[in-house]
Amino acid sequence: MSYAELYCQSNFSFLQAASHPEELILQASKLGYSALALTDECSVAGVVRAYSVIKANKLAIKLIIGASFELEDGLKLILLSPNRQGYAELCRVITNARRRCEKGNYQFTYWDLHSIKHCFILWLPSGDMAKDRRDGATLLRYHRARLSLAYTRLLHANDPVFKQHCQYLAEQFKLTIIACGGVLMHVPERQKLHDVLAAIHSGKMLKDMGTLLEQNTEKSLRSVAKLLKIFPEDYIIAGIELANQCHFCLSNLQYEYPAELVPKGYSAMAYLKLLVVKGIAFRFPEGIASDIQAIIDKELVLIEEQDYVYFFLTIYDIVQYAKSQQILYQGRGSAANSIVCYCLEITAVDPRQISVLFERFISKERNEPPDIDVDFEHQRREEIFQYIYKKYGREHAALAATVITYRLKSAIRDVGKVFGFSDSQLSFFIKNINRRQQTISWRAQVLELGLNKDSAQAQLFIELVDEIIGFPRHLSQHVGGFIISSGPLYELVPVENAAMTERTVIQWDKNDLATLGLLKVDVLALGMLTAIRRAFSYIKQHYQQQLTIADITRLPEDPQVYNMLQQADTVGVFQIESRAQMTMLPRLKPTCYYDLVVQIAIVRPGPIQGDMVHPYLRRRAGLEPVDYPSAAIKEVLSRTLGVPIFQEQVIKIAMVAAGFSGGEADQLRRAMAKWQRNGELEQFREKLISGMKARGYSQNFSERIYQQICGFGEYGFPESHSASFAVLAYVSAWLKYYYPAAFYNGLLNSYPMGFYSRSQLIQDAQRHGVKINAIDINQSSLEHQMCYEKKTNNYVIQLGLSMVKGLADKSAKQLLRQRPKDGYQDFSSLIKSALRKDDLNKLASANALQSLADNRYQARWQLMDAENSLPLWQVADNHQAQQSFSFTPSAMDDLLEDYASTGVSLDKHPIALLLANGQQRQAIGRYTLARDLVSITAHSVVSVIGLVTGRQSPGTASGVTFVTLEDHTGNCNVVVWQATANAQKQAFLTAKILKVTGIIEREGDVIHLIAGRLYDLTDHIEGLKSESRDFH
Amino acid sequence: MLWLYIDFPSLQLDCIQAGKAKRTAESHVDSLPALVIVDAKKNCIRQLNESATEQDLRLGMGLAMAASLVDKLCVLPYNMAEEESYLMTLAEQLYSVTANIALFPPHGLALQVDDMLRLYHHLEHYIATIRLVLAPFKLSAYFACGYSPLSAQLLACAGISLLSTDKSKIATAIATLPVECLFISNKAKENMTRLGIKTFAQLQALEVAELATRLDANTMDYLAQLNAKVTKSLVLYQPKHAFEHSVELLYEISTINILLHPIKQLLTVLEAFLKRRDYLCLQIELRLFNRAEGLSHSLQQALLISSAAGEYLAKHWLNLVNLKLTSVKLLAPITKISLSVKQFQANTGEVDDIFLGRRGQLSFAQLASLLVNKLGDEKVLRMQLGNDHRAEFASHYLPFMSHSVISDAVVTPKAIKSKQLNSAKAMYKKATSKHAFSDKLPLRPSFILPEPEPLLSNVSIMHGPERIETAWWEQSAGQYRNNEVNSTISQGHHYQRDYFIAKNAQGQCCWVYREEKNQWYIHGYFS
Repeated sequence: MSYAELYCQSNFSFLQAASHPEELILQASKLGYSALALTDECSVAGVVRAYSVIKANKLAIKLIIGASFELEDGLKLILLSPNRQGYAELCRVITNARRRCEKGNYQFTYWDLHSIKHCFILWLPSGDMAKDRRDGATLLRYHRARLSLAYTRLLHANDPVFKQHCQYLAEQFKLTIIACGGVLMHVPERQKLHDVLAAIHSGKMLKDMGTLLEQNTEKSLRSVAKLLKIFPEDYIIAGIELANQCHFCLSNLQYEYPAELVPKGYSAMAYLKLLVVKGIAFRFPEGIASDIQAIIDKELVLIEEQDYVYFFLTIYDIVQYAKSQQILYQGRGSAANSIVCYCLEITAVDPRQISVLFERFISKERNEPPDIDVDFEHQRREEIFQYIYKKYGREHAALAATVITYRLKSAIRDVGKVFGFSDSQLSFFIKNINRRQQTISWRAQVLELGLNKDSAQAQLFIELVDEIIGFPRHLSQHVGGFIISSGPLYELVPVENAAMTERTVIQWDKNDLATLGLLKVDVLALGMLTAIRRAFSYIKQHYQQQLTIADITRLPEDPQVYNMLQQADTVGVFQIESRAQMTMLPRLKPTCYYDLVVQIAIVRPGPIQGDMVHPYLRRRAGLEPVDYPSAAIKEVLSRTLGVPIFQEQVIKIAMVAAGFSGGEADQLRRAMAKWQRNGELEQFREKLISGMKARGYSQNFSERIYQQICGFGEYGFPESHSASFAVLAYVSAWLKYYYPAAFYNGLLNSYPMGFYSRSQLIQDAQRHGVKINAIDINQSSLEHQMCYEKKTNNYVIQLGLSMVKGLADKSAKQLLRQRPKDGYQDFSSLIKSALRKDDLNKLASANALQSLADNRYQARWQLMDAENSLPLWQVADNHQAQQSFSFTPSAMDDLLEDYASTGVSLDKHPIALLLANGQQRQAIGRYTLARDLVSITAHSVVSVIGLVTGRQSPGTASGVTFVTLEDHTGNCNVVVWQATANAQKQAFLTAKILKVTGIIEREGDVIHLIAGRLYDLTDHIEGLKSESRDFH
Repeated sequence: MLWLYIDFPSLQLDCIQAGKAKRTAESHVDSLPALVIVDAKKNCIRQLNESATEQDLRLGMGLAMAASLVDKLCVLPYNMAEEESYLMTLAEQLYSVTANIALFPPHGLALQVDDMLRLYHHLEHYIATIRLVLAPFKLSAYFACGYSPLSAQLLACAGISLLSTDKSKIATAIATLPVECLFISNKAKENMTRLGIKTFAQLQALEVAELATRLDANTMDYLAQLNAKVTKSLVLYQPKHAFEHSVELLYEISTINILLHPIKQLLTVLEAFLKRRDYLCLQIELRLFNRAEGLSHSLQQALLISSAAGEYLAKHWLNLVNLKLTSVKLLAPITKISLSVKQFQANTGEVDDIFLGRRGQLSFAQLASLLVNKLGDEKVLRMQLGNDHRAEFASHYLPFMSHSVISDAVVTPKAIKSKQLNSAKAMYKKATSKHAFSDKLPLRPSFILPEPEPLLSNVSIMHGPERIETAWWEQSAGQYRNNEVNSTISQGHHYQRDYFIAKNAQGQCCWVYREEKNQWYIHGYFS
């Protein structure tokens, strides 16, 4: 005999149940259950995972979609969806119950209950006779035909009484009794975790939970034999019969695109073809080559076959809107780099420039959904969101969810609390565990930090932290993944409120959508697009040249731009401006677009963990022959000299070299996306390595491929994304080279973005010959502006008022509005602008009043005079300040004020000032300036001093920290090994000005200082308010 | 007017260390680990010990940074209330040697010197006396004199010890101080530094009239007080109002009977105190001080005396104290006794039936109070429901004066909140849960064997099984249970039993269980 479990919750009933949906399905199938209903509390967030595991393993078990609810008066019931209408109804009531409350909560009302017309209802009696009589009568009134009584037996003391109670109710109301497990875990061993979750939920310690915990493990999936022993057979049969009446499967979901995308009289495909034809005329005005036309035709066939027509039309519609609003955008992702997308203006990647990329993206055999992400200007992305909501309505458009899961830190904190560890101890653990430390596991580290390894508590703590990691904690909103449908979304999937007001999310995340073949449109934000769009507009305004991204990529590859990149002169250039990228540039020496595609992808965990970087560089430099283990591999790897660099390549290798089927490769790709959470990749290891071995590949090569897959798991980077990023990298580099003033001005006005502070960007601009003018109330606008300077016949950047710290936009605008034509001539005219005194003081400190006073201190002194605000004084002209005050700032005073009020000093550098002081210089001892490092021979010992402007510890660099020291002549790159850092923690961690003595290393044009001794010189400049940007 | 300001920059830390140092041998003091007191709001170091300073920790440093710098860091949260209470204790002590004490909470005191110099003649003598009183506390402190409380404060808090009556010397010391040290708002300080005014001397060089139009009134007021041009109205220390009285004994007492006399005096004062306010009290604390151990609070002998019903009569309390003292052993001869009230209660008047005719008899609560005080808290127990699935703990004895935890366990406010039930639902839950709980209590035998015994006779099963499988986290179940806990429970981590109700040959209903290994035990009998 079999069994159908109709009451089972997964860990998507957050903090209530202790098993993943996948585990429940696999275990139920193993135990021989014929069906399992997943009935999370007011949620169907876990059902797709359960469905996918059935599909992947071709299991015979039936998945029933349902949900459990509790009404305000304590009435508990389960809804099961028998068919598509029932499912739509379930989604609708969940949506209604969720939308009434703030994020994470629900309110299921009798109104919702009465509106049920299709779902089966399982009633869970409370055991209180009076209440159950009332509840039974209410339920019966509306749902006689679809109502059953769910009886659970959990081996409690009062089981016989409760059974009698249920039998009485069943007789009274003529209901069928159905045996249910009330399952919360797939195996009894999860009791510990379940108890921990319950304690977290209650905010108590385990030892205080008492009877709030389950008294035994009976809420696990039990064997059919045992169930037959504890339940009467007819109860079990009733359950199976009810399960048999449920026919709904998630594969029945038909996704329908909004019809309004297609004009009347056209079919969708015909319309797409029409748009492509128009696009061809626009993109290829001189006529299209026959080979490109052939590819377009092929792509269109594929799009039609795979039923992606509406998807392309949806994105076309969105980017057309962006174009009409002059919002810069750029598509990326596997499908985005097709020629069809080029014609539809979704991407600016010109296929003639990158012919090598053709055809690789939409792959039928790999069974991947098309992937098109569109990046928009970060300052204007919200406009796109609002357009989508407006066009399709909130009923038809919502954001996908992101499932927030327990990670190490949150797990340590929550589990630690229920075991009774103090908050301060847990904070101490969390702060001191170095997750990047690959050689020592967190378990070993926490023991080193003082957790008593012999105590049973400590062992349980470690065990449970490990177990809880990856458990869903709550649903959050995806950064920009929209799902749009023609019918109401709430009949497809429940919609709930997000934490942000006016935002709604569906209950599934992007992987779930992919499993069901539902397409989402990614509307993402990118700061660089804002910067480029701004640069374009400055160029148009000042140089009368109209540029687009496509215009620049269409030009022939520019050797001068590549020469600049080879010198690692890339501050501000998209994607290749980090220290690690800058180190790679002179080694890789990019000379064409595709080199940039590789450059962007190579400095990533995947290739680094797979040890692929050095082989690639050696082969590129001609130091190592380019060979291929087989012809099949050659086809995959020929464009990267036989070394796998991209995510697509390793997946393809799994197919051609290890014999993965299209479906398996797809599973591998998904497992890579979440391996950090579930360790799912491990199961592919054996198959991959044995598969490759059987086909004659070396163990070493296979291992490296596997390692690389693991690296991609941490941070996957596909070629298709790299290709789109490379376009922006090239365009930004091109702008930096040809229009530096416009480029830096664009960057400064798009701040915050990128790696560098405004101060660093300004210094870089100055080094590139761009003159920067200080903030001035009579010259500056709100934003930074390009101004023509007759004297030099060049453009300079006039810093804007937005840079004054703490000055509100509103005040700055008021100042500009009131500004007389000939500017503010004296304090009285300034005071007439009626700006708040505070704001005027901020302007004075930023030295913006330099035209009115000798120095900023004088300006402040005059502004602070309370009499100035008297009405009488406002009409008096040119009040002469009186004066016991005469303070002349030193250079250091000015510098400190610059840093405090704007974060930037244009003409002074702390190191220069430090060195100008003879006494200080003597105290510092020998040193070398950044500009002089070029002439130092490798392996010699030198000392450098500088302002610490960045500390980066990339995850792949096994404990190395890159410290950037800045002096008035440039930057110096210091490499600090972990042991050096540990031995000199104080200077390493706290110094703002550092002197480092170490050994110079050179590789080509790249110069590093390998740190030996670190000296903290911060005390030499008191009160210096520079801020280092630390990336860990 | 000359003032002496004493700043205790690490009051909380010093008090902790003093306590610790006394407990541990002197030799261990040097090897104290790095200890920091952290301001929880700002998450930065507020006080730190020498060892921490040696390891490069600094005041104001963030906790994360400190933790990265020092491997074994001992962190304590800053407790302002504790510091203020220490400060109050210090004021109390100093009150015996100096008259006007102004409190500058949380860690400073200003003492008016001029008047006292008439008594002590020389500043040195006066200071020496003050130091003598403070010596037992082992506090680090800065002493500074000034011609206004604020100027003395400014110097002491800047870490400058200056003991002098020389006006010019004091003025010079103040002039060199940076404006950062001034006790004015951060905004005012920032205003000054951003005018280039860095030291107090620079500030003084400016015309007051010009300053007045630029600085806010509070700052100008402060500066005037600092220069003693305006006198700050200070609230001087007054002994506290809450009931805490003590009596210094003229001679050492080591006999309890004699001790009762001064205690009676104190209780009489208490009675008058309560009467005036129409209060009752539920708990008093009697502290017995002994000369041998000094006056530090950690070495007092404190006795808590409770009454189950509120009382005010000295007679009643004396009775309870008497009972309590019979079980107390004096550690050393007593030199001082203090009495404080721990728990007051408003006198609402007890309704007594005039016709009951049993006046003069003890009420249940009074009897319980007598017993508790006579036998000790832990000896008078009452049966209460236990919050545990396991039979051994389903009901157990708890001290009479403590309250049952079971009701709290049934409805946890957080659980309800986290489910965000609306108010009606929450009310319903609260109202019904207690009731539902008692309805659903599992059937338990009225007699439980002290230890389960192997089941040797034949029984016939009537009900069951009830499976109990829990408490996996307890290494030893007896760790925080009552002493009556069955020792077999603590064996092994895994507690899994199937309980049955069964009838034996004698017709008794027994509670039997089967363990995982299929061994049967009898655990109790139903009545």
